[in-house]
Amino acid sequence: MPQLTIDGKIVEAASGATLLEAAATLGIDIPTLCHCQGVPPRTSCMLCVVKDTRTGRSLPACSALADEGMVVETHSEEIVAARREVLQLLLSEHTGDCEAPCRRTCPASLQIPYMLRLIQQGEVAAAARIAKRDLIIPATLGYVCSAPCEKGCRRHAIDEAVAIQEMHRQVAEACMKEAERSSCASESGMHVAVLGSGAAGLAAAWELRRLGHACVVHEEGLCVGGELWDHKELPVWVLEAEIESIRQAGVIFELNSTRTVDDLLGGGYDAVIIAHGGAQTPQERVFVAKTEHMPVRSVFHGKMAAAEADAFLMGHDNGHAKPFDSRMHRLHREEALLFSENRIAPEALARGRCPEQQQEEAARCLHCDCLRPTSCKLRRYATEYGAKGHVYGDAERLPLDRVRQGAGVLYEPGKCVRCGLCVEITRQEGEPFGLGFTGRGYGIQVAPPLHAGLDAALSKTARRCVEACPTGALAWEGQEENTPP
Amino acid sequence: MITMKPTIDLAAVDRIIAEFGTGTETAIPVLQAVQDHYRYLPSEALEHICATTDITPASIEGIATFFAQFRRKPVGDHIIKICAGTACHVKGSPAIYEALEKHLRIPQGEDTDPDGQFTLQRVACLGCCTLAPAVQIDEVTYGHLRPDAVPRVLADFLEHDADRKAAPPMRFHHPDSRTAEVRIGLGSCCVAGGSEKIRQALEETLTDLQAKVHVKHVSCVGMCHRTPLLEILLPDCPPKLYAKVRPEDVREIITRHFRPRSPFLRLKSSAMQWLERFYTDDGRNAVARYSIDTRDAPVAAFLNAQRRLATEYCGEVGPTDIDEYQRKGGFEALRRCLGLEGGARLQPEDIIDNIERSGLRGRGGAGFPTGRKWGFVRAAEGEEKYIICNGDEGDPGAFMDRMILESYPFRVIEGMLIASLAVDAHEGIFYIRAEYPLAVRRVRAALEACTQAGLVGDNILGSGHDFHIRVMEGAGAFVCGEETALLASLEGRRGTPAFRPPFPAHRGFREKPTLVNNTETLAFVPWILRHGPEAFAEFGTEKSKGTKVFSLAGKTARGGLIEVPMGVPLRQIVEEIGGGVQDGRTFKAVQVGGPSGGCIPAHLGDTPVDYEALTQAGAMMGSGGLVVLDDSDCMVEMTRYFLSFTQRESCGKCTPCRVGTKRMLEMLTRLCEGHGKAGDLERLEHLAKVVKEQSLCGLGKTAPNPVLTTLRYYRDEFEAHLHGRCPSGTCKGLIRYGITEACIGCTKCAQACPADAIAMTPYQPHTIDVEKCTRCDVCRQVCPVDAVKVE
Repeated sequence: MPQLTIDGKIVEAASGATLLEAAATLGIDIPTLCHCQGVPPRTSCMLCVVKDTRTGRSLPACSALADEGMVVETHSEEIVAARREVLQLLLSEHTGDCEAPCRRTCPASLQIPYMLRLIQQGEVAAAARIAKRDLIIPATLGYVCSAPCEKGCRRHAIDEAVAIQEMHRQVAEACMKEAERSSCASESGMHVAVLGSGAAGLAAAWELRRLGHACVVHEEGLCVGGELWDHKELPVWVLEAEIESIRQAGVIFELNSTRTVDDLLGGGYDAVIIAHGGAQTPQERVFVAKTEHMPVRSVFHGKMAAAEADAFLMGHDNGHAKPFDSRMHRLHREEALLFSENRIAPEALARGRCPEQQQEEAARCLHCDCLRPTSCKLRRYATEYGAKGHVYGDAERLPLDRVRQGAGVLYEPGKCVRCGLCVEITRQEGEPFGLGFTGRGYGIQVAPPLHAGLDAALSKTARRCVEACPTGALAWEGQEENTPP
Repeated sequence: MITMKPTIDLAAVDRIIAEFGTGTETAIPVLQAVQDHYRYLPSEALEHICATTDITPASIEGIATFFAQFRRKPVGDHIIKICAGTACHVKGSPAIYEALEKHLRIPQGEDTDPDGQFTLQRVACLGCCTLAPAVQIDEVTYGHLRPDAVPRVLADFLEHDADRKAAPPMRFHHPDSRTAEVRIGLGSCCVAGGSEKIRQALEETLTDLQAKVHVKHVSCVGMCHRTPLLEILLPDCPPKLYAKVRPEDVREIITRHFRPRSPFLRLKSSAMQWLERFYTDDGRNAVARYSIDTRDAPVAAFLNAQRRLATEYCGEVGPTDIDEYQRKGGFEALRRCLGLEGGARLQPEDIIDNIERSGLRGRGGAGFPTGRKWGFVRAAEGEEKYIICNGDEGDPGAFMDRMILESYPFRVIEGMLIASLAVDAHEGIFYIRAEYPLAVRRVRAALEACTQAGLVGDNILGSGHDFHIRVMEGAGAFVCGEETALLASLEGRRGTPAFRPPFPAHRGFREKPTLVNNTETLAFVPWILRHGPEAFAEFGTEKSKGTKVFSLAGKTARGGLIEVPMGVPLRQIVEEIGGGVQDGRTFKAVQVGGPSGGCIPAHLGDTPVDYEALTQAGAMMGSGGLVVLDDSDCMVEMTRYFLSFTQRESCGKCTPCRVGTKRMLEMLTRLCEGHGKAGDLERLEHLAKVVKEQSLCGLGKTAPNPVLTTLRYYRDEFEAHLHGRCPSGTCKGLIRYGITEACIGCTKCAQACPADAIAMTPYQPHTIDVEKCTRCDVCRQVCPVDAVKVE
């Protein structure tokens, strides 16, 4: 029973225990991609690196055995940096998007592919709830937004972008009444004032209410909406209805208000958000939501300022660090077509957009977002360790590939980290073919051997392999990890 | 078109399986045999193997795609192996490859010409660094090539292909008691240098003259830069050595020393010679031009500064002559250990103690004390133990192990036998690169001789000790030099390393305690036990004892295999043994330890050959390649070359090595092409440190060494590349060829230019079309007046 020190704590490890296991008994979680219960360690991802300070050696915790007298650091600055490097190397050979480019380009991060999938399934109300959650004024933006999302759409490479803006406008308008009943968190007892009632102000106010804070919007002018009214193409009833839904959520609007920040801070407010575009010197309890020419960007700033104010008021870290996003950049037409396989009939590929037919239009989406955006450990650790995806900007991108067969498993080699878990599982369970490594070095790949298909390779181990896969390389097609709001 | 066999006859596969067995461990030998038969691995054959053995589809596909030796596509009639070793690289092998590709019209991304006649294959090292740049077509080696010689080489090959097939096998003369002896070097370098033709000419001459001469087939002499070599030994005369012998010179050399027996034959011989000379207009005196004497000053420096322990009796003994080996003290050490030389039988602890006191350290690169390793295996629990001789030398520009196995197989076998007594093992395996067919043949022959002499097998020399030895051929993966990867491939798996501990000494081959020693290390063992550990420890430095075998190549006047005492300064090797750099260039650096080592600059030439000193200088002993670089070599390009080797050889298992080496190589390639960006050097250095620190095995941990040392000593050259300048004029993307006013309009360059970038303008100064120019350097090499300049 060796005794050792891990992160300053003394632990008696079971004999034959690895450092990973010994650390786990102390509740210390060491990240790893290639390790999985029931499979012997392969020591390939090298993310579980820890340091034995006695020898100065970096050790892979999944395979190095706990030894008498070791003094191990698992999360020192050096080790964190080392893990970040490993993640960045893995990400540099990663061919796959965490989020679809439409969502990535949307300043307010509208969860577009999921919304479109719901529309395709006829779940209009659920789709509208997503639009409301992310855009706050989705119907208004349906008229006034310049729709950067559509410029990012991968369907471009085939025919025309999906009519995303039209989609969120349609569902938002159809469910205007329902939006008023959106639920808010329980009252926090905090009072926040928002200066300005344009896109940024409205977004900030709605977010604050949703988080349970009392909120009063002070508007200099005579009507709510600010610069949004300048957009002549916007029907009056649409903006009014969306303002009304915000009012219904409990936001109070004070028009013709001349109150300054100091007035408000002295007048019992716990925090103030400035959303009128005026200059402001930094001050405690005051948060700024920038206003921009593009309304959807103002919405984003409003949401951000509300999140900051909330973090300040509730005394927690503004911990909603933006999740890591892997990006593939431009795809060739042939690569883009891989997304349509099995789902979009070839004759439907050149038809162009048809926004009038809502479900059909939504079905034009290529679903190029990752099937496993939340369960992917690579993404989780990349976020946690602050890894960047473009450190090696000029790195050669491996071609996109998607392997699928009837059984419903989708294999994307570009997302594989060559951990070998599926290879070992298929071997353990005696698959007649199984998956194996082919090639070596940078060209190493996991693939069914001897021209076997994916179904034959995973004849009885599909479930275990998909579950063990640390990334989105193996996933169930049609499975949805996103949940409705 | 490549003709595909319409159907595959699988009977051969069945025969192979019947020979090797159906266990998973046989995967690699079975695949090698299948490939030998079909010349590639047909899918049907692989499927059939899976159906009839325990080998799974995933495993067979994994192995067949992991090792470089295996091919999944049919090959052309002839395979052209282009050496990509360090020495060949610095002497221009990439241009040779391009020229071959172009001449054979090989489609992009393919390796075989449209007629299916030739397949190009880049090989890590042909092991004839002194003939650089070299290519091998089937069994024939062509050296000192230039891109413009490619058509001639192929024509020559095709012309002589038929002759070679018809050539009768060599007949050997058997020795009498006191006859004369002609020694002919038949190491791979000599064979590559043309000794096969010499042997034929010799055979013919001797038959004609009816001379009673013993023709002896000897090991590598170590003077590979002078191959082929012929040595004449007459009773009571000093030996006479002829270098760079040509087949047409043989008759003259022989008749100088041996008089034909009868007056008629004597007359016939001289008349024939006279006639031959008359008709062939070949009147030069071959002997005068090609004879060298070992006592000539430069050669004496080459041979006398050396100390031969591992390569004892270099060039004197027949590699597979067990009687001669025994006459010269062979197996004496083994007998002593077994108590058959008068003294008491040595206890295993005594043997280990001897090795420990000698200070012998592993010659594979890392320098772990051999005695300690033996002690670990001895102490490890378990009845069944194994000994592996690691002969998977894959380092481009190093061929010590090949030479030792080819020339002194008995010495290594004896070393293994002694080790088996020390650690109590009963099975040994030679793991030899498949690229070394001669070494494999020699070791097999030597093992056969030992078995017959009762030295290998059950109850060795009546001692009660059993030790069996077999040979396993590696299949072309540099990483298998790493012991855990080697063991994986021995067990029939992909050669990927595993985390240590457990060390093979505790859990190795078949999970049993296993001693893995480098070939050279084992070759020292008999010497140490014969002369005593103190005699060995007299050579060398405080921590690095004994001698070390190096292969010296690159830009020195002389190259070849050398064995020097540890502690000798690098400069002495370069200048005294190597004779300094060639062509009036200046000595710039010496690359030590191959792709895992580093470049030691000339100003640190006093660095001694010592494990610690070399590591401190940023290089490492490695397996022992020494490549000398001169001022025309670009250090950035050299770094890119070494990294491209390790990147290609990375097994792909761990992230830092798989991806890190690729990213470093991309950055270096950018620099060499003139597309470097600000911050690249810092990024490169940072990444090199990450890969060094975090890779799983020795390959990854040492791959950044060339990057780190060159950045340390030649940062200015890297910076110059960042600014689009290659100071040595090597990097194609950064240089332009031009013709100066010195041009005499001889059109040699225009004729030689493979890209038609020089117009045929007789008697007028030529010009180079920069757009068409591929910077292959041929024009500069052919210009008789040095009018081609590189900017």
